[in-house]
Amino acid sequence: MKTGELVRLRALERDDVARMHGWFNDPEITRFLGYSFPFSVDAEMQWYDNLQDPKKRDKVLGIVDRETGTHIGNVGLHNIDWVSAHAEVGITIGDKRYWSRGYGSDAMDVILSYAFSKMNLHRVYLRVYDFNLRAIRSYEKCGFVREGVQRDDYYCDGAYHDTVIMGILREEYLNTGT
Amino acid sequence: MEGVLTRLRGVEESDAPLLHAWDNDPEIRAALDVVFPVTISSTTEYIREITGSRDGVLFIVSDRETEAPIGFTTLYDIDWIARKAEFGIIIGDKRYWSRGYGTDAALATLSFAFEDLGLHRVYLSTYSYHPRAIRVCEKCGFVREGVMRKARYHHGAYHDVVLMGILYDEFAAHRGRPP
Ligand SMILES: CC(C)(COP(=O)(O)OP(=O)(O)OC[C@H]1O[C@@H](n2cnc3c(N)ncnc32)[C@H](O)[C@@H]1OP(=O)(O)O)[C@@H](O)C(=O)NCCC(=O)NCCS
Ligand SMILES: CC(C)(COP(=O)(O)OP(=O)(O)OC[C@H]1O[C@@H](n2cnc3c(N)ncnc32)[C@H](O)[C@@H]1OP(=O)(O)O)[C@@H](O)C(=O)NCCC(=O)NCCS
Repeated sequence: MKTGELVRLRALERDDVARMHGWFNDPEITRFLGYSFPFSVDAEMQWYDNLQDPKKRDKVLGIVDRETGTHIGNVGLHNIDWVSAHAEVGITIGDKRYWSRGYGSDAMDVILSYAFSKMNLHRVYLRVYDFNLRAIRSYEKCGFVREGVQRDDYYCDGAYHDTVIMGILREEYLNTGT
Repeated sequence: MEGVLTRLRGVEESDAPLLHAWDNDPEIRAALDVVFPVTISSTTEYIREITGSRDGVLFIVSDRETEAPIGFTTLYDIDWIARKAEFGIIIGDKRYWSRGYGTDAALATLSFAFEDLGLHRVYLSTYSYHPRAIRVCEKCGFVREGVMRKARYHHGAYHDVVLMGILYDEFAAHRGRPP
């Protein structure tokens, strides 16, 4: 797999689950992901075990800081549709010290390259809540185009929020010269 | 539940052959997110699943006059926190197409979604090559919320997927007669 400037991606291991359990119970993170209930370690482990099923149409990888080897987040392709050749991408930099320093965009670039050049997909899309300006900015940097707004699609912190849909096509990605 | 032209009732396992036939009709399948053949056993299993769940509902649509079952509507993936559900509709008896039955059944289902279930939002996606479905949704007051570019492969080419949604306030204001 292509290596990024700042990160590389690797398979998730059982030992990573405890760390991920911390990230996915952190309200500062989960409000961006739409998780409403706390996860037990068992639930996290079960999620990990399900991921090993080769028939599953989700592939999630760990994001590792190239310099230190630290596992700082996950990025994955979900709902892979082999007929229409598209997938939904999801990303979390769980280690908050790494936010807004280019690591998320770099990891996204690596997974897009994988999706288009290795998996032969032709489209990747994502959903992001309207208040998640940092994420939207990082997706724009990666070449995603805003395709729509699902109104009042998400409820959190006492209010409804919109979900923004963004997509990128293979030819758009390849044309950016990355 | 009743519309002007149609009546809705809960699906039964014995309806499986009907749904199975509709789901395998090529003209209908063009509008659905299915590619592989649908088996009678997967249809039966789906009916069991949705009738056993409170996160989805499937109604058989019948012609009020003749009582003949002509299609179905469904609300699925209900999200009780965001109070939203995805909507689906098939008028399977093609003799009824473009005679107002789809719109009538859709409105009866929306009224169930908003006034019985208390949902806040109903949404669906359809294909750019399917103007009849888009028109039915517009007639019911759905708003076009976006276009997922080239997200559906069909008949040798990629097509756009059209996203549509309607909120309770909108429905309450026009009750299926959008301005
Ligand atoms: C979203 C996420 C993956 C982005 O990764 P990241 O490494 O933080 O992002 P990057 O540093 O690559 O890019 C962020 C960009 O947003 C900008 N930004 C940061 N905060 C911002 C704000 N409040 N408003 C607008 N732009 C902002 C940064 O300046 C940067 O742009 P720049 O390079 O032009 O200066 C990461 O922040 C994260 O995991 N957040 C929590 C979970 C989450 O939101 N996941 C995504 C759900 S859809
Ligand atoms: C889509 C479907 C539910 C519509 O039901 P219906 O009973 O045919 O719809 P209605 O008669 O209520 O309304 C159809 C509208 O589309 C219009 N229409 C028909 N063909 C059209 C076309 N090619 N272009 C534009 N509008 C068209 C009709 O004129 C009518 O609008 P009007 O009342 O303003 O004249 C039904 O045709 C069906 O089940 N099709 C197969 C499965 C399917 O497509 N399901 C929906 C998936 S999102």
